[in-house]
Amino acid sequence: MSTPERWLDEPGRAPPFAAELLRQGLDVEPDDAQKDAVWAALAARIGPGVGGPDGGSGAGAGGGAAEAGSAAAGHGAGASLTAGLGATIAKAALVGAFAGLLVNAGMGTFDGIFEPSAVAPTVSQGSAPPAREPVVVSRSGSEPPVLVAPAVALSAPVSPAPSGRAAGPLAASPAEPRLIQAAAPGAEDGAPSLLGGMAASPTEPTTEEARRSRLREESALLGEARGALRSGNAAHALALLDAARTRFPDGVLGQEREALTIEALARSGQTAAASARARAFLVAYPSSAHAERIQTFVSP
Amino acid sequence: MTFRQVYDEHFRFVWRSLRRLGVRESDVADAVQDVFVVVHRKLPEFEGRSKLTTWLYGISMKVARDRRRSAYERRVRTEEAPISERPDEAVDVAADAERNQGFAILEAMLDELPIEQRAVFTLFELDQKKGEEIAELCDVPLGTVYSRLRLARASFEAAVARHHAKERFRLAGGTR
Repeated sequence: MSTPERWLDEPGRAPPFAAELLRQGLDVEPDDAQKDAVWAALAARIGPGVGGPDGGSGAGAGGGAAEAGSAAAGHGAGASLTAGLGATIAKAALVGAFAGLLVNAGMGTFDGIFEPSAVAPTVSQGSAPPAREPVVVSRSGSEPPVLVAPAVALSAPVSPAPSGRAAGPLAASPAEPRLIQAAAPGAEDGAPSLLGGMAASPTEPTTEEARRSRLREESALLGEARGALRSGNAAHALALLDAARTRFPDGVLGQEREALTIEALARSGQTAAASARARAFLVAYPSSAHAERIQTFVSP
Repeated sequence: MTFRQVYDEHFRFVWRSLRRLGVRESDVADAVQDVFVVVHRKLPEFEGRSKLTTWLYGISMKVARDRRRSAYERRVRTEEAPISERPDEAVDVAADAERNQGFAILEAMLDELPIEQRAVFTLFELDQKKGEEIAELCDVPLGTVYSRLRLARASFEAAVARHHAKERFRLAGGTR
């Protein structure tokens, strides 16, 4: 039996549009940050002994993993939530590593650098070695587990909040991209969100109706910004996005807001700011639906 | 071979396979975890009865199949929910589709294939695998690979044609 020609090799012999469509699907590569993040989440899920069923080598890493695991289990309401939580922790850790800047008061600390590769540091793919040290969160003392929702935000320098609530994004200054960490307000009530920054905060209206109306408002504001951007008025779009950021610092549509801001910066010629912010976005939300598009704003 | 070694050597393979089998970008990190949780549990009894990649691909197919099912159920539920209760990615569906239209269309067409056909089709057309390699990965005879490929190509071709007919109709001013 002979192998037929591949449609991509012989686009002329493929049905109309088929090769063109298939080409869209070629690139589905994970990156090293994702590899590290999944490993960290996996460690949290499996717990000690993740070093291998042979059980021999995982001792050093086991402690951190077990701790992260129990932290996740304590808050998770089921396997998939726990897994999501693990991923959140891992993402938060990566954000921390990336930013080198922790505005993180009272919620616990990133005190342990857990090296999964203490077990077996070989990465045998042909590609580049991991770009950064993988980190996993462990916690200290009697603090609650670290559940920090990565919030990518442009902000003026923010001083650590005095209480347990970390400072939310404040005034924006598009020329100075900055990563800040905002503690997920919902972390303590066991309803953490994978998407970060989405859980209800004490200052938010609590009734269902109020929540909906707030979301409609946020959505309308972003819609207006998108409209401004489409009609070529990037500066106005940026102003609207700043307004949205001030008004809905923990907005449900935070990712959309960031994505639009990056695009608006790029279109207004602030490519360096757009690129820095795009990088931060990709670290915070590597699996975002917007990731692929945001990637195009990262300058090499 | 330790669990860590399996992970290091095959993370990329599992990730790609899951994406090819229909797990969405937003779910794939969780799905990869699911696969490796099974690997972790069953590695001691694996003992090389088949090729490691065959085993991993089989697990990935099961995980992808389960995820497809629950993603479908979720979609059915969210379509009935008021917009404010949908996960935020669903709120901006239109913008999303615009952003990534080509890829979304491809995914939708591949979603129409039974997962066994989708596996063979994507391994062959996208990953450029040989028939024999596909037979090994999917653990089926070579003849089955080619018959699945034929079926998948026919369905895909029909889906593409259907899509373009709809597009032309829409552009010509039809209501949909």
